Amino acid sequence: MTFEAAQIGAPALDDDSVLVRRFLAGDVSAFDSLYQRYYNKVYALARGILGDSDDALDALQSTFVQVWKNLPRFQQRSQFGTWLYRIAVNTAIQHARRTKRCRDSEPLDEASVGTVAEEQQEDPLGERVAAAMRLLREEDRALLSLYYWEEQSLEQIADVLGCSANAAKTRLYRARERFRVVWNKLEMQHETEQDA
Amino acid sequence: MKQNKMHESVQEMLWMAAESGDAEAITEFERRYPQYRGELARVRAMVEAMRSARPMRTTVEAFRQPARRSESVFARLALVASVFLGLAIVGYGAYRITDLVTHRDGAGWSNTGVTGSETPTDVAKGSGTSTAPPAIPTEPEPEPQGIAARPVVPQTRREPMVSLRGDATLFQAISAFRAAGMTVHVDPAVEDLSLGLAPENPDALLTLRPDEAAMLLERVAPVRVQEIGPKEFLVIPLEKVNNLEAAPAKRAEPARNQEGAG
Repeated sequence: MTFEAAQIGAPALDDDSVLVRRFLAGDVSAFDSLYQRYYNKVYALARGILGDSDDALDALQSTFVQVWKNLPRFQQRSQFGTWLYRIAVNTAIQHARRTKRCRDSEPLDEASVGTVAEEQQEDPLGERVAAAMRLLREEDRALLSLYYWEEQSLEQIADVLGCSANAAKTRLYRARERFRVVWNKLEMQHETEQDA
Repeated sequence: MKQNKMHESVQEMLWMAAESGDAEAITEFERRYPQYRGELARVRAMVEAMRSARPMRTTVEAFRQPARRSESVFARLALVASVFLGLAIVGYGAYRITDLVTHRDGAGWSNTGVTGSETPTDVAKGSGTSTAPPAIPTEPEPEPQGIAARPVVPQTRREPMVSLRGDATLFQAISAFRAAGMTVHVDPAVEDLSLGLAPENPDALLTLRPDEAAMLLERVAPVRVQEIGPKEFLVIPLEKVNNLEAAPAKRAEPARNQEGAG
């Protein structure tokens, strides 16, 4: 928000709501601003849920296409970011279930093994986190991504998931505990491999 | 084993200390629960790893804009489509009604015994209950097999009339028939005579339909005016008609006599 806008309590021109209004008035560049602003946030969320960068990019494009199409119907009862995250979570979870079905029916080929190996070489810690995440359900992944990566509050997470704050807190607690169990197992395996 | 026995409230404090990263909170937790020091360290490492593992992309891919559909265009298309649909419904309805009416009329004729060679005129004459239009003397046309009879459209054409003067003779009357478009065959034995329709007013003009004029001639002259076809009449002397009618009776008498003799 600009200094002048903060002084008079008016929203700045680059506020989400202002960008939404500009887009609805026909200013396509306003959508580009929203896209640039939320690109990495949506990517991180989709990557956390899907565990694959290519799938995450597909889900990201689908999410913004949904936003483009449905923005005229956005009531602005919640913040634009919350609404966008809701679409992103739903799109990524649907994408995960769809690709899971496809991959279950396909044999693991050398190309996919090679891709996993390259990612491990790039960032071993990040890959261990991703490996632990992949062992969780999509809903748990979405919760942890929103909480740790997007630093959303419990109220915001509740708004994204369409539940109460207390329910969000309980679900986050359980997801966190499941992650801890999986993480500890993987860390023990990792230490054993290093010792060997 | 210690992890499993950890109280829920302690677990919550552990998570809070680990996630906050606050040195005071960590020191306080370790002081109160020294047995969970190792677990706190593991959770802190895990939270750090989790936070640092946030995926990032240095390049932002271009957004592939979907083709923007204008709602007004859709509204217009919907309007045009609904207009076409409405017109199609009205047209089909009109066709069905016409078809229904046509077939109902056809069924009425068949109930009254109309065959393919008969016209509604014949039905009107025969039963008197038909809903067919007024009779017009027309040549019966053979209907094609398997095609339903269609109603005859009422013709508004004027009927030919025969005009007779008050002092007209028989031959003048026959000429009047011909002037009205009739074909009249006259027997050579027919003789001309004054009809005496209105001798006191010879300029008076009597206009009649051909069948009425024929009946009038038969009443005022010793002739039979026979309608032998559409617009076609035969005029023969009355005495000839009487001879023709008497002849079969004379021929029948010998037969009766033969039966009596036998």
